[in-house]
Amino acid sequence: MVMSIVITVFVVLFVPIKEAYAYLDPGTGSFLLQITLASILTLFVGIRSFWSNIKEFFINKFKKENKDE
Amino acid sequence: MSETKRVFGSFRDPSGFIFQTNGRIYRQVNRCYARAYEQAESSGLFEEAIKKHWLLPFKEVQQVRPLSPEAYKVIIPTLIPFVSFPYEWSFSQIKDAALLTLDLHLAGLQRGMLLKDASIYNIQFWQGQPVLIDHLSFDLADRFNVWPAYGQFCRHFLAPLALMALVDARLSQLYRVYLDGVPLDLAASLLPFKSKLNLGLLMHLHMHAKNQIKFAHQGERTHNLKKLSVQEMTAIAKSLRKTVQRLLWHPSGTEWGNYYSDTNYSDSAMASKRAIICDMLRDAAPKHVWDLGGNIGAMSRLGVEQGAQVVSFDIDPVAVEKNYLHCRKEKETLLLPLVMDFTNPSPGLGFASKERESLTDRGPADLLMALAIIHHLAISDNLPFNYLARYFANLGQWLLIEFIPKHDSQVRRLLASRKDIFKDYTQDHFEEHFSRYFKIVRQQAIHDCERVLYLMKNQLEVTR
Repeated sequence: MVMSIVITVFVVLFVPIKEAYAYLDPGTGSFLLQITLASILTLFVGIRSFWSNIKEFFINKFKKENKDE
Repeated sequence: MSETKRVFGSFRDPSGFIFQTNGRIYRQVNRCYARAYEQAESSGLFEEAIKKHWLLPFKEVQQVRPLSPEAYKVIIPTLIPFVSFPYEWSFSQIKDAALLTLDLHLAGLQRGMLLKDASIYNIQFWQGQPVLIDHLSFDLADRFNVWPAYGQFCRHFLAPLALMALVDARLSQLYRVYLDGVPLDLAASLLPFKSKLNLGLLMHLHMHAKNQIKFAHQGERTHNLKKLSVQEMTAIAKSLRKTVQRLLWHPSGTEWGNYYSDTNYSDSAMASKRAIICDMLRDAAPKHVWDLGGNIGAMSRLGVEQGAQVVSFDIDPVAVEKNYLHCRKEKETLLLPLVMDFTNPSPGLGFASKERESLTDRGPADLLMALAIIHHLAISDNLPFNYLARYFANLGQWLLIEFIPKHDSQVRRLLASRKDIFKDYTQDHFEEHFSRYFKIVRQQAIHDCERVLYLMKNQLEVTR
């Protein structure tokens, strides 16, 4: 959470971007929330993928050991 | 002489608009949308979405003149037999429309595009399933910093679904008041505390509502802020999808939910009723039927068996939900269940009350079925026969109507708790008033029962 806030503050302050091309106004609140959520959700995805890699590593190791026995 | 006119409700998106000529609907695509159109076509997005029944099929046409010089192309979309609106849909219809919208957005993101708007009015039910009808909704993802339709999606889909699932399914009627979707602060204030324990609702609804209020009057510039990557937009869309997918509504029994197991029809009376209705439907041979009190659609399906497109209306959202789930399970393509209260049918809504057509403006039907409904309208709602006959004459060319006498147990039940002020509720008066607007072509008593079915033909020529 702290990490995502730091990222959000960083990008809000320092990352420039070109004009939006839209007839629909996303609204400032919705706009800023998406930036925050994007950081949080991609962090979740990263953690989940990291966790499943660790799980997979131990499952494979366990299977290998069983095979060796 | 043919008349060409722009469809009134098609004015928001500068990418193009809908117009009508020779009774057909066309869409003009403007030059400013050319790049997005070409990308959607060359990337295979249009083709895939049509193949999956996600996008209404369309064809480009050369022989139809566009309405204005900024035209890039004119396309002709497949005709939708009956246009319906979200305040007429049951929970699962709205949920399926929401999931479809997100799936289209995700399919777009895979090809460097996105849905630039997420209006629930861009979805219609066609052949039993929701489809996107706005062929100008996709745009190039790199034109946008964030998903521009995020707020609209949450107002049009997430907030109403959360309210229906966690508070009361009848809150779908908020669509009638809030045409641009339910304000998130209103939804947040109506939802129970437990909704904050749902991570998806906490992020996309409660935090979203707070953020909107916080920044509403601060006039922050968003032009130079961060641009989300396609992966980040995908993560948000997938999170929304999971949140919507997990919203469930388990309808409990209502007054109509068990109607067919709770009537005074014997097996032979029910068989007789069905046979008479089938005969009458064969006589009138309608292509478009409106069943005004369709319940879970048992009689509506007799119209389908005759090959008609049937809209099966009912006042009860539980009955409509059951009917829709049945249609979905059986992959029925000719039946559309909708919620409608005929004592207060959908009016014209939106700007000048013309953006969303009233029910009457979407008619007339070839045939109206008004089965086991007249006693509710006449006795429960005190509507005089004359009012009913005149209104029905505005809605359809043929009328297949069931008269239920006062001594029928269902009518006695309605009168049990009130004084009988309905001295005119007789078969003679019924025939007299309806004969002012309709010609009674045929009438037949149902076996083993005192109810009578009538087939009537409108004496006026009602046209669309």
